[in-house]
This record gives sequence, structure tokens and C-alpha cells, in this order.
Amino acid sequence: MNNWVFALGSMLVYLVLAFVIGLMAGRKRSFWSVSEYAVADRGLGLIVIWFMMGGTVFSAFSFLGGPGMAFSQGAASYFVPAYIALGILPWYLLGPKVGRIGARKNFFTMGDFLGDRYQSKALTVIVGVISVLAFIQYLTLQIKGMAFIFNILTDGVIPYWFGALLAYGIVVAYVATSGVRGAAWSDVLQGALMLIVAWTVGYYLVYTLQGSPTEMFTAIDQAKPGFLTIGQDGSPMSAMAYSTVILVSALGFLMWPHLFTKSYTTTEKRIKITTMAFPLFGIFLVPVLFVGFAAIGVVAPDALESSDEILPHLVTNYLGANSWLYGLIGAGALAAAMSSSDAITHGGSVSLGRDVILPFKPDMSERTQVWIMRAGVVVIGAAAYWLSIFGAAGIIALLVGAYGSIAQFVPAVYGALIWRRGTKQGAIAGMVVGIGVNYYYQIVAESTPLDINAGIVGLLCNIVVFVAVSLMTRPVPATLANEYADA
Amino acid sequence: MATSRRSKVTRPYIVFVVVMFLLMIFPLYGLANHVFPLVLGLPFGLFWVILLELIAFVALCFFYRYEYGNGGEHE
Repeated sequence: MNNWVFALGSMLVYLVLAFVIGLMAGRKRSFWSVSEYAVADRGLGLIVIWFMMGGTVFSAFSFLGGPGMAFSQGAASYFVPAYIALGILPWYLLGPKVGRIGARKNFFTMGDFLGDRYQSKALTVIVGVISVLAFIQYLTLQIKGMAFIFNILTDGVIPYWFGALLAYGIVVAYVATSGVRGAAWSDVLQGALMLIVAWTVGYYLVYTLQGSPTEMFTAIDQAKPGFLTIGQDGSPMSAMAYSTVILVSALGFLMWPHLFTKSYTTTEKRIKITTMAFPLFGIFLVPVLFVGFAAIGVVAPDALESSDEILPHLVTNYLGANSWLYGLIGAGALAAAMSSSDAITHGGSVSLGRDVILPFKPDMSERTQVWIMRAGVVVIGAAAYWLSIFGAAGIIALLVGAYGSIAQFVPAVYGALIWRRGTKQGAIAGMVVGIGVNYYYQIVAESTPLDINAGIVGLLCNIVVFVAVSLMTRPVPATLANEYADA
Repeated sequence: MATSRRSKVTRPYIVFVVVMFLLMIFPLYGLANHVFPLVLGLPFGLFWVILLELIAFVALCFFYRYEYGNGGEHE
């Protein structure tokens, strides 16, 4: 049997399974309840939550961008396991607070939370709009990943547009019908699959192409001195750039609005257990980096159009005979991309309905809200699909770019929980300035002062403006501020 | 019971998080910024990241155990 037939076969089997599990998850649940759609009536189990959050970490990045980064930038790629471990840690304290306030006040999103604390509908809408845009950007990257995997592993038989439509269409279908339950249950299948695939493929490639990890890293260090360290001669990244990219990614990690939504899906104790498991996700990513390192000295850098193609390139050029591995990689990579897409698509639809549309028409019935959220899945899905087929940008730049704006929620969110004096005007002004500065340094300017990450420059300006403007404006009622600070 | 323990945990936990952050970035990460010795086949700089993740996991287990006991009781 041809390799591509085998790959196509296993990808299709996987897609059918994911589809069935996603649809089954929503059976016998109340179809028209916002609470069920958005937060599964706050009753998801531990394993399911764990996989759903892990699934968001293991995105298309794991099979495309991650190996590409190790291949082209060496030690700079360590920042990925580093920020994943750090990013979740504050959640052990913040998550239960957010969850408690959310359960008491019946919140579903981060926009609900900020809008209520700062008494500002405008803030809810700003957060909603930025979230939806960042979600779309992030989705675009996942969809590109799916399309690319389909296309290259089937030898071009499945065209780009069709692979994306097939894989992402399934996600849209089960999220629209089953809500968060659909996303969560299919993530259990997807999470298990991609973990197995990542470890098998990572170690298999190292042992076939390089002998062993020890031989591999010794050879790389000899061929490219400095490549496996930061901030030295021959290093891919300066110490400042490395440190600040970890900081902004770790801080931004908690600001992904779907995390708020998820903290409303479960209990305080479970939030804490979920946090415990997270540092382990960082360790699971190591074999992903191995894939990229294994290609050094084997694949010439100019053999690729983009370093993101390194895994498919290795698979198609160096694993010719092994069709089992071929099929596994196809299914695993699709699983990684889809498990992030379902959670993000769901989060985007909730933000769109709740934060962007509801404030303009607060008397909407619950039925209409659910209807808007379910339609939102399709609208967001279509926008992301369109962008990924017709737009173009490197995977990493896109990821870091979306993160940059999301991280600008940090002062307002932390401010809500620890600083009673923060005001509406302060939060809005800080956010606007932070996002503006971030965009300026990411898109307009050539470089940043001292090589500091653009998001951190934005964040510093954001904090200064937030504090200064807050102190000059009238505080929110003390009872309200206390309710958040003491939760 | 959980409430009083929770408030007692807050301060040590914040210290723990700050220390983890500092060990992951420069200047302290400079201590680990080498290729050799390779540990478990990993360059030392990468091994350091993995080690800190394991430490974070173990520390979180201790914090959790302190707050909720042996996990005998159910929610």
C-alpha cells in the first residue's frame, strides 16, 4: 500500500472518531441553556478538564512550529517548555478566586468579570473584540497546520483548501452542537493520541537519524558552537530577548479568556489539581523539540521553504518505508491542531455572544444568546478558514503576535483581584496604550529598546498608565472592590 | 479548615512562584546556560528547564496536600 493511502486512511479513521465523540458528548443535555453550552453547568470531571487544558497547549505548534524552532533557532526553543511551566503557576491562587466570583455572580467570560469589577460595558466590549480577534488569529494558524499536514502526507492528493475544510468543519460541527462538552470529550481522544505520537516520533527520529540524544547534541555543539546556549557568540537569541519572551508568554498564558470560561466549568479543588498537572505538559513537549534537533546536519536549511515544514519534510524524505509511522504522524498532528481549535472556537463563540453582542442588547432571551453563540462558532470558523487559505504569515510570528495583545489584559485582571483603587478609566486607558505600543513595536518599528520583547514594552507602559489614571479618577464603590479583592 | 490554611499558603506560594520565574530567566538562568554536562542526553540548559518543571510539580503537590490533607475526603 502506498504511504499516502495509509496516511489518508488513518487520518480519516481518526476524524470519524473525533466527530462521533464530539457529537455524543452533548446528547441528552439541555440544548438551549447558556450555562450548559458555555460551562457545562459547571460540572466537568477532572480528567476531562485536564485534557481540555492540555489540548490547548499542544497545538499545531507541537508538530510544525516547535520542531521548526528547534531546527532553526536551537536553544531559543527552550522558551516553550519554560513558559508553559511558569504560565499556569499563578492560577493556583487566582483560579479559585475567579471561579468563586464567577459562580456567585453567574459569569461566563473574562469580559463579564472585568466589566462588572470596573463597572464598564465598554471594557467588556474591548476585551471581547480583542479576544475574538486573537482567537481568530490563533485559529488561522491551527487551520493552516491541518491543511498542510493533510496536503503533504497525502502527496498533494488532498488539496490545501479541502483538508482544512474537512478537519476544521468537523470541529465546527461538534462545537456548535455540543458546546464545551463536545470540545472537552474529543480532547481526551486527541490528547492521548498526540502524546503517544510525539514521544514515539521524537525518539524514533533521534535514534534513526543521529544515533542517540547524547551523540546528537554533542555533534550539534561541535558543528555550531553557541547554538545550544543563549546570549553567546553564535547563539540564536540574546539573553534579554529570551528572558522577556518567557515573561510575556507566561503572563499572557493566563489571560487567554477561555481559561476564565473554563474556571467556571469546575470546582475550586479541581482548578488546583489541574494546575498541578500543568508543569508536566512542558516536559511532554521535549520530544517535539527533539524532532527539530534530529534534523540538524541531516537536512540543509535551504531545503525548506519555511522551518515549520521540518517534520513533514523528515517524514516524507527520510522515513520512506514506514507507513505505520506515516499514518500515526498524520493523525497525531491533526489531533494536536484540532484539540486547540475546538477549545478556542468555543471560547471565541462565547466571547462574541456574551461580551461583544450582549452589551448592546442586554434584554436578550437566553434562547437567543445560545443561538448567537452557536451561530458564532460558524461565523468565527468561516473567518478563520478564509484567513488561513488566503492570508499568509509565519506560524511563530502569528502566535507571539496574538499573545502580545492578550497579555495587555494583565494589569486590569490582576488589578481587579489585588488593587482596590483601580478604576474603569485607568483600566481602559492602560489597555489601549499597551496594545498600541505592542502593535507599534511588532509591526512598525524595526527593533525594540534593549531587545526587550514588544509585549513587555507594551505592558510596562500599560501598568504606568493604569496606575496613574486610576489614581486621578473616582474609585468604584468600596463594597464592589472589596468583593473582588477579598474573594 | 481549608479557609485558614488557604490564607496561610498564599504568601509562601507567591514566594515560590517568584523564585521559579527568576530561575527560568536571566541573570539566574545564566548558571545553567551551558551545553555540557549532558544530563539524560539533554543539553544542560534544557535539562535545567525540565528539572524546574519537575520541582514545580512536586512543590504544587505539597501545597495541595497541605491544604486538603491526603485527598481522602471528596468534594
